[in-house]
Amino acid sequence: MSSSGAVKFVKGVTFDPKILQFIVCPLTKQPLRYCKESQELFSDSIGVAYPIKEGIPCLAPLSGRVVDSVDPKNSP
Amino acid sequence: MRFLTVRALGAVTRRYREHGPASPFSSRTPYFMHFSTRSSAGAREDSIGDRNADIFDRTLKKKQRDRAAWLMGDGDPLLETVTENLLDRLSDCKRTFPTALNLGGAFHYVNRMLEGRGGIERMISMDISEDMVRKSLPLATSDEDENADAQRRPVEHISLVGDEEFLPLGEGSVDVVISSLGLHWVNDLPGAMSQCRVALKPDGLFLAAMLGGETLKELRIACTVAQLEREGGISPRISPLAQVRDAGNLLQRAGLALPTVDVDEYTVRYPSALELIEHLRSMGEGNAVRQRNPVLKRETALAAAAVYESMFGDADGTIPATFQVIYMVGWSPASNQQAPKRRGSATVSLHDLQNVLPQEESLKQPSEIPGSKPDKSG
Repeated sequence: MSSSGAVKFVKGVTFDPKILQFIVCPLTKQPLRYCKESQELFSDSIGVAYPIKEGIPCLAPLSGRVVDSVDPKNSP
Repeated sequence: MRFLTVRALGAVTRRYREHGPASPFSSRTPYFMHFSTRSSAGAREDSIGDRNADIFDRTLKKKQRDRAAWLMGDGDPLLETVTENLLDRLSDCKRTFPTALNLGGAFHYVNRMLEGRGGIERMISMDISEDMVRKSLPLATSDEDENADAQRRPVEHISLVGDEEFLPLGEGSVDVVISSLGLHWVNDLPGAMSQCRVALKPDGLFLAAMLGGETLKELRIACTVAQLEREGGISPRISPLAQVRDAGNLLQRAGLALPTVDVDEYTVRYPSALELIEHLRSMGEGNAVRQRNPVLKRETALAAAAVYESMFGDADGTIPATFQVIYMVGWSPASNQQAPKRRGSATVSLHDLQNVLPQEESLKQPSEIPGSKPDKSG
């Protein structure tokens, strides 16, 4: 049973970029970069992207995706 | 009892000889660690470094909490009582805590029962299980409506999925860390608490309730007796828990100042051991010890239930289960906190103190002590 597929909880939770002032990468404790298109939070120094699932950032180390190459042009 | 122990050891050695090391890690661990257990598949998925020393299977714990999100009812008396006791400590503090981190365990109860205590304006709730976090979302929104009715500032709720062992919060970002029964499944407890201290602003409050070593002692005994009887060996069925004496050390080791620890014991009565296990499951408190035996035979389980009833059962047919909760309070260090003076900074010798203190005859007339302040009240 996939956790997100079977869930019938309230929807409409949107990610608020204001949260970024509190949260950091759990591994490096460095600030995260929000990518609106892919709905991911990038930890640039180690090249890991954490997903935002329906507005909730998933910052457990195991849910992170290793990004092959980080394009510096994307960073704000 | 003695022959049982010998039988158990015999079974262990025989098993080891027949099957050899049970897991790929065995070459580095002593063989007695592996009696009647297999390393779980979930732990092997763990790719972050060498987590061989872990006691708990965090992947399994995540799954158990996912399931608990579906199993849990609306009101759990045990969790409500513990959370109420924990939050009561917030009212004892004179200052307010605008930003709070709510860490694991019964975090949805904390959100629901906060009722404006501690002046919390922003609540960051974090749990390892995504389903658990989502389950608490409706609560969070309804909570806001209630607060609006009561003419309080609505609490801004932020939800996160994260691991307590890898706290994704920036340095000095929150005023208070609240954890209601959320820290007893953490492998590296001193590390997790140090991370909490780093996440706290100076003079921030760390407030945690944690299950202590006396918890479920009846079940522990019943399982051991039943396993020895039916399987001739034991495997850990109840997780190792922190002792009361460890709690103070943990707070100090995490660098938290002014530590306070107190203990409460709750006895919950159930019709039978099966209801107890159902309750534990609904709280997500299933066995997640990595060295556990993944197979529990029906026969052994029923034997454990029978042993439980015969050893601890009451006349009215119910069985008691003990839950020992350790409440820990600590403050992140700040310069304005009270602290002992530096060693050697005293200006008055204890010897001189003797002359100032009232002697036996002058005790009758305290106002005549030379050098002391005149006592205005008496």
